[in-house]
This record gives sequence, C-alpha cells and structure tokens, in this order.
Amino acid sequence: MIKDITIGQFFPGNSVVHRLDPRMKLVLTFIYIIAIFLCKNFLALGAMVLFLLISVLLSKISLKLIGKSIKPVFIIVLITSVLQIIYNDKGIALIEYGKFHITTGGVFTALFTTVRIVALVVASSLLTYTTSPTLLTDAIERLFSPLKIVKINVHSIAMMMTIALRFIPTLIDEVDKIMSAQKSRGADLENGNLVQRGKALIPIFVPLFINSFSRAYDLAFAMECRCYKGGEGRTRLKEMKLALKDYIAIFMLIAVCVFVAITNKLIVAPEEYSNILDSFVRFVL
Amino acid sequence: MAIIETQNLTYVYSEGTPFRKVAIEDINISIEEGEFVGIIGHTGSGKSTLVQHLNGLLKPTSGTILYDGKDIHSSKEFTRSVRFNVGLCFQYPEYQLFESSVYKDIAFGPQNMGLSEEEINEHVLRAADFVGIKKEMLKKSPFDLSGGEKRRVAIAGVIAMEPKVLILDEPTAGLDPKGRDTIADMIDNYRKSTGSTVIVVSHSMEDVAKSASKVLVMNKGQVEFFTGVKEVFSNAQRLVEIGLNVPQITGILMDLKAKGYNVRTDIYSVDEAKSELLRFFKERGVL
Amino acid sequence: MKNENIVEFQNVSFRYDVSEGEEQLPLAINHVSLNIKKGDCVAILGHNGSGKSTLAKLSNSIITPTEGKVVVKGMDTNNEALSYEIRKTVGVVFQNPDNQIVASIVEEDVAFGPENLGLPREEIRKRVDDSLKAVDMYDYRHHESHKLSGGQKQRVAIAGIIAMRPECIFFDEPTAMLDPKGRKEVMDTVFKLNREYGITVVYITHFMDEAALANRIVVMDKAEILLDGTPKEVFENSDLLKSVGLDIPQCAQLAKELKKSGVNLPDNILTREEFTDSVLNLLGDK
Repeated sequence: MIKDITIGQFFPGNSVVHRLDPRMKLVLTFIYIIAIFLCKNFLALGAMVLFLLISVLLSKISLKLIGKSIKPVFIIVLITSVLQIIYNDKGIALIEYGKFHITTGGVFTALFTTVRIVALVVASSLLTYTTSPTLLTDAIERLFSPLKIVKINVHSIAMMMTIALRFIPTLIDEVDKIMSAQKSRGADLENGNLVQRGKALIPIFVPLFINSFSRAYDLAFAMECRCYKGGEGRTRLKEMKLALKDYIAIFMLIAVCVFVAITNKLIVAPEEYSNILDSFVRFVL
Repeated sequence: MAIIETQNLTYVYSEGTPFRKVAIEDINISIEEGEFVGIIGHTGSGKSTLVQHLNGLLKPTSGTILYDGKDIHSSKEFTRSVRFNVGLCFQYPEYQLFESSVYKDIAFGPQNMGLSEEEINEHVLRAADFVGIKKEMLKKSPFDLSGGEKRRVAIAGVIAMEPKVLILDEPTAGLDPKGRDTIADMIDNYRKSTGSTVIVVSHSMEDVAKSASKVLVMNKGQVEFFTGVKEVFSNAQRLVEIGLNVPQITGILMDLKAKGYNVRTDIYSVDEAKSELLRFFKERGVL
Repeated sequence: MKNENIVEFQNVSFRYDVSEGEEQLPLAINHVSLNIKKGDCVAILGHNGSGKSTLAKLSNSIITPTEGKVVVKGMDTNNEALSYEIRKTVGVVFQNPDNQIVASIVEEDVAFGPENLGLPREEIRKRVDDSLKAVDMYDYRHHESHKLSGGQKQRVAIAGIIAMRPECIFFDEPTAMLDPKGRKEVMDTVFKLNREYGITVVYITHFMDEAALANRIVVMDKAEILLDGTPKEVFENSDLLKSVGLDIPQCAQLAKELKKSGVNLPDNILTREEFTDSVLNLLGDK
C-alpha cells in the first residue's frame, strides 16, 4: 500500500517537458502555483487549466499516472467541497431542506476550489514526474546559490536532499519487510488503543533506525571512496543552459498570467460571475 | 493428512494499476506433516510470495490455503493462530532484531501468543538451546553479537513460537561455509527432535539437496517440479535452463553426458559422484 | 617495472575504536604484510570476522593503520594530504550495493565520482558512458537505481568506481548478498576489468569457486595471513582450510578422491571446466 504513492516519483522520458531546464521548470511551477491562487474567475482558471493540460500532453506522461497523483488529495478536495456547499449561502438556493440548503454560490466555490487544488497537485506532480531528483536538487542548489553570501551551505542541503530522495524507496521497502517479519512473530499492528498501537511500532522503528545508521556509515565510506569532499570544485555531468524552449515556456506562462490579471480586473469578479450563473439558473428554472 | 495444502493459489501484485504483476499462478501443492521441503527458484520466481501465503501474511487473489484441512482465512482468530503454527523466518532476519536483550527478543513471539511468564521462559530457553545460544548470551544486547550469532538469535525468535511448520527464507544467505553448515545442521536437528515440518527456501539445489525429502521448483510463478530430490536432479538440464545453479559435480556429469557418455546426472554429493565416475571409468577401461 | 607493487601492507595492525570505558577489541588485523602486484588478480579468503574486510578499508585510507603502514604507489595512507590521490588510484566496492549508490538515476550515480574530481563535462560524459558499457549496464543509464536487481545494482556501483579510472579495485564481498545470477554477472565483470582493462583486482570472498578463479589466493584467519599462493598451492592444504571453517571447491575434492582410487587425473584440478577437460583427455576424446 505504501508503495502506491507516486508523488515525488520520477518517470524518465525524452519529451520537451523532460528536457526543459530544471531551474526553469522549478520557476515555472512556482509562478504557476501563485497564479492559480490569484485566479478569480472561470475564464482565468480555464486558461490556467489549458496551459497545464498542454504541458501534460507534451510531457507524454500517461493520464492514468496524472490521475494517480490526485488520489492522495481526493479526501481533502471532497471535504472542502462539501463544506463549501453546506456553509456557503450566497446566490440562489437550488435545494432547501429546513436549515440545510445548497446554493449556486456554494456549488460555484466548491467547483472553483476543486479545480484549483487539482491543478496545483498536477502541476507539482508534473515537475517531479519529469525531472530526476538529482536534477531537481541541482536546480535548487543553483537557484539558491546566492544564499552562500549569508553563510548557508546550499550544496550540503542539496546533497542531503539527493540522498534522502535516493533512499526513500529503499527505506519503504525495508519498512515493508520488517513489518511482515514482525507480523510473522505475531505482532499486532492493526488492533488496540492508541498506546498499544504506539507500542506496536517499536519493533518496526528500532530496527529501521539501527539499519539506517549502518546504511549511513556504509554510504559515507562509499562517498569518501569516490573522492567526495563537499561542493568545492565539483563539476556536473548535466550542464544547465537555458535554451529556446525554456524561453518559449516562460513567455507562454507569462502570457497566461497576463490574461489572468486582465480577466480578474476587467471582465468579471467571482461574485459577478456567480450572478451570471444565478440568472442562468433562474432562466432555466 | 496434509498439514498445508494450497488449492489454485494465485496472487497478483498491484491489481488494477499499470504495475500489475502475477506473482504466483494456480499453485496446487500439499505438504505432509514432518516433511522437509526445499523450495528453489531464482529471484522473482514467486517462491517468497508463496511462503508468505502459507502463514496468512498475504491474502490470495484467488484460491485457498488449508492448514490442517481448514481454510486459513476462514476467521480472523484462525488466521492469527496459523501465524503461530506456521513460523516464517524472513531473509536476513538479523535486521529485524529490536529488543534490548537477546532473551527479550526471542520472547517477542511467545509473548504475542499470550503465554504465561513461565511458559515464555521455557520456550525461550528451548529455542536458544536449539540454535546454540548459550545462557550467558541471553542477557547481552543482540546488537553486540557477531553476524552469525545475530542470525541464530533471529531464527530462535521464530522457533520460540514452537510452530508445527517452520519456514525459513534463505537462512544461510551471506554466511561463510562454516556459518552455512552450522545453520543447516541446526535446522536438521530441530526437525529431527521435534518432528516439525520444515520448509527451506533457497536459490540453489546445493543448499537443500542434503537434507530435503522433497523439492518444489518454482519458475515464473508456477510449479516446475514438486517431487523427490533424486527426481529433480535427474532433470538437472531443466534446472539450468530455468536459470538455477546445480552443484559443480552435477555440472561435470552433465558435461560428460552432453558429450555423449553414459553417466547418471542425478548426483549431488562428492561420494556418489566418486562411485559413479569409478564405475564409468571401469566400464570405459581406463581404470 | 613489471613487478611493481600497487598496494603494500607493511606490517600493518588495526584495532577498531570503542567508546570510553568499554573493553578494548582484539586486533582486526595483526601485523600483516602483503604486497599486491600491479595487474594481478588476487582473492582474499576467510570466514566472517577474519579481518579480511578491514584490509579493503585500509587500502585507500578510509581507515589508517593503528601500527605499520599502507603504501599505495609510493604514497603513505597515513598522510592525509595524499588521501585524494590515493582514492583515485585504489577504489573500493562494498558488499551491499544499496548502500553505495548515491543518486537515484543510474548515470547520475556513475557521474558522482568524476564530478567530485572536478572534471570537465565532456570528460564526465565520456567516462560515464565508457564505465556503464564496461559493466554492460549502458542500456540502463536512465533507469532508477532502486528498481534494478541486486546484480545490476552492484554493477552500477562498480561503474561508479571505474569512472574514477583507478588502477586497482578492492571488492569487499561483492557477491555475498546476490543470487546466483547476480553473482555470475558481478564476477564476470570483475574478471573482465582485470583481463581486458588491466585493472589490478583484489576481491574478498568466502565462495571457494570464486576464489579458485584468481591468480593468487590469500587466506586470512584470526586477523593474520594463514596461506598465500596460487589457487593450486592453497587448495593443497584442504585439512588446514577445513580447520578454519573453509572448504575446497567440490571439483577439487572429487578429483582428489578419484586420484586416491587410482584414476590417472592431473594434479590440482580446481574448476568444472578443468575437470571435464581432464576426464575427456583421459578417455582420449579431444
């Protein structure tokens, strides 16, 4: 079950999205996430979704995998939607049952938030799906390298991230194995109260920590054997160089952002938009 | 009656995802009480998946597993009792030690069984004795022991539940020749003195040939052979084809046979090979 | 300079440290002198805890001797300033492949060493590709390392070392955690590096059939060298080997038994191929 989580995974490929400069991808994702929160109407949101959809198609990542990335946030989306629908009483009522009523405003906001969250998750998944962890940490290291001035060792932090990403799957496998082994000795991980369950974790986590220590020792030796001595004087296999496609990507996103800004300001504010929705509902009814 | 039986046992990993993989398919085996069964197959042949079904750790996608003639998933209570009756010791079990003393670690299983302090004590001492852990070692931290000792303590942790069926997944992996012999003797001794059923999973025929009465050869999630050791070796060529190792001496006899000479290949001990080759040399008049 | 030594252990002792107040551990290596000749293929045999793994770590200044010294191509490993050069000369591959792979993607991991050396990008690319081809893992260069089989992982780890272009590699039980298929893949790679690339190879093992394929076998017992010689010389001492928990290869055992019964086989048969060939010779079929 733990193995089904796909967020943070990398699916190697050779698409345009894969080949974008990882620094640019990081920046693009960052801008995208901010922009998606600034969207105030469906038109702007639609443009953002379209941009994402095109990126997904260009990446050649299967839609099934994209769907899988949304799975973990499904519950959050569901809960916020339900809350919106129940507590938002703007607009006209569609269903009324005593104190309980569903309004167009509620449905509208619920839909809006859902699209936002999904777009957010898909955008960040697309980043990790198409960028190898090493490149991603490299990009972070380079983007944040100005922090060296304030004595922050960006290289060490990036190296720790690389190692963490590299060992997560290994440790997940290990937890799986230890759990099976302790269950075979009758460990009961599913039943009991909170204290009992907490106690039941000891046989899992003690070996995990001890094994991780010995892994860390081994890894440190292995890294020393390969002449690792910190970030000083290191070169890289993969050069990061902005190419035409990177500029195209950022200009496209900026264009979408401008569109978002204009629609936000000029066309319709969300309230007005829901008024339009209201009149439509009235018309239908 | 068979102590363990599987009927049309099939298990599929990650059903319904792009990573779907059939691990074992339509396994029908039956293991008699007191038998010593070796399960061999290369990595990914499904042997580890199979044994994790026998103590109810994995639930079959389809098919049933019977313990003592009863479906092990017939009730939650029964599944739990099977856990204790079918002891499963994983590969590299020393990586699962966690207690502050050897005694406590071995006692973990018996404790979970809900035994009394007194019974637990008896179980632990008996198990320690089987694996050759001395009394003064019981107070030590398991993390202060050598690799081979840790392995034996971990195995004792399973034996301490005094299961009717003891399953060991690659019990000698990573050990030196002496360590391998010690563990093999220990398992043999355990089976002889308790009459338990023993199942040993391995990569190579060499490990199981000495003591197993029957061998289950797994290939691509299915049963290739399930028969006596001799019969399996008489199909030595097939073992090589499915990527398994045969002992060096079996290999020599196979080489000679491939050259057209009339020698038996169902041989796996040096003594047997010696008498077969002497017979052959006499027949050919070179001796 | 044909008999030049690449690594010299000169009267080396080593004791692992313990935290204060604890009882001192016995010597892991006890006054060992051992020279590794350039281009040689040496197996170090010994049971668990015989001190053989410590030798690997001593060889490239990961640890330094408590007594005596280790000299790599004239460089003393006690001299910390030289450790960088020493590690470029002598690489070490460890037992657990999982714990020596640094990056998630195969080619990025292999690049780790050359990146540390500060090589230009084109040179790194070339070394990564060459190394992956040498271990036959080039087709997997974009794969995620944790999804590979044990044998494949270990070959990636080996590629990571050969990308540093060392002259000598110590392998610390590289096959102990692998299945038979993985073992064969890794041992084939080890011998290929020695024969085709001229890299000096020292491999630590407790598999007799692997040791039999080396040019020279050093047997360790209780932190000391017990035997040192060609495989044929070493496996002569079957009783001594047995007494320290080691064995001789099955083939050698069988050949010995048959000779005792009067079969006219040549001395010192060690491998399956040698055995079969001599039998065929005997039958006049060759």
